[in-house]
Amino acid sequence: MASHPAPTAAAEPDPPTASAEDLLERCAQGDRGAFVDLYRRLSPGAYGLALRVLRDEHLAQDALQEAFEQIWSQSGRYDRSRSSARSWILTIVHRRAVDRVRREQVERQGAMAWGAQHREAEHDVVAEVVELHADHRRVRAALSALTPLQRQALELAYHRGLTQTQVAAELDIPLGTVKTRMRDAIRRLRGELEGRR
Amino acid sequence: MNDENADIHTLSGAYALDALEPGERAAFERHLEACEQCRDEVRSFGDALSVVVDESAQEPPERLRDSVLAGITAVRPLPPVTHDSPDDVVVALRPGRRRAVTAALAVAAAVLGVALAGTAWRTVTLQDEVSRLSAAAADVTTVLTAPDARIATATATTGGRGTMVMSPSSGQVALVTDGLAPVPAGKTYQVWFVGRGSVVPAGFVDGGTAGTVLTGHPDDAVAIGVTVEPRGGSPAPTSDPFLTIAIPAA
Ligand SMILES: [Zn+2]
Repeated sequence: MASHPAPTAAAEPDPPTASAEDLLERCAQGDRGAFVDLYRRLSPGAYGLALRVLRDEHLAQDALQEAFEQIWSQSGRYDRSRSSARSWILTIVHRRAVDRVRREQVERQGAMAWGAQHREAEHDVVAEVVELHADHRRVRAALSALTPLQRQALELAYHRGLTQTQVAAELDIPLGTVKTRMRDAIRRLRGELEGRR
Repeated sequence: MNDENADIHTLSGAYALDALEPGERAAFERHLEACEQCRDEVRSFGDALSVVVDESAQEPPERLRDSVLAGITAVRPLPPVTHDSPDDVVVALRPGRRRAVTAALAVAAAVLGVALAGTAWRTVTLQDEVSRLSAAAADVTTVLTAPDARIATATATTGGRGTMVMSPSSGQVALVTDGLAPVPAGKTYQVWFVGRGSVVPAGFVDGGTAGTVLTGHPDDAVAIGVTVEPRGGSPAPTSDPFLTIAIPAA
């Protein structure tokens, strides 16, 4: 169900031929219909991502709203030679969510030490990632091809919003190791997904 | 450490995962402009992450769509970043009094003692500003959301207002404008850092609602000013500033 969200507003026209890239470029011309269409197509993925990072419906909805307003106003700056529309949009959503997480981290730091919170998260990180996507073979297979350390790096950064510096401190490993581990992890993920297309 | 530069390519993964600090992110984005290999890598990483994201898709509540649409009703998409695109709006600004070049901004700097008192400064708790300014460019967002970001706002003489955001940790200063008159045909809005006795170019900003990260922040800057200049910009200001924002002492 979650992976095939039914269009909720069937009233809007949905030209099946228009790519997300086309829609985004039409937004830049002020085409609000294209924006509605784009929102309908991409908001479920975007919302799932914001929820994953923020773990709170209200925060996730705020982030989604801010992100889509930014997507509209910056649509003229999208360059299809640099990224797919889907990826461009998800990047904006992810940054919004992560910015929020980091602001709250800063605000909380006085009250709560970093370690305590993540010590508990650490042990079931891998299980959680695999568990969440239990119904989705392709992604599960790709993730399970990563080493546990690579999965952990992806999880801490992408889903918990830690910076590479925080990941290094949290895992007590050199920053350089974190950098290469993140890149290796995502390269491997990419390779696995391509191989299983 | 300086070995950061030697292996900046390895940051592609952390960049795609949004795991860079704001300063690092800006540095890597500059690197991306010059490195095709990293651009390709970042693109493919983004596509891989999109696939993972889609697996946890979840329909947001219907009312959120309405609220998003309401949020953009009064917003026009920003023009592309290229500055050589033809201006499509012809609204002349009131021609300012012609005064000798840099003098105007120097005067602005001189009266800053007064201006400073009236400038609203505060630290952090940026949520409301961030959401109000969500129209700003992504690189501006980096400055806006820096934990140590500070904000100053001033009203433009021609309408609208400007907000300056500076983040000492990243050394960056961003200018976000709100409701400025459209840039007149053949002109540009040029931003200046006003120092004690010097005025240096700091970049350009669009009309309407726009944001830009300023370049070349001099240590002795006491204000930023914005003037109307011929398209392409001028080496020194040729008109009075219509917007001046004071930078308070640290
Ligand atoms: Zn590179």
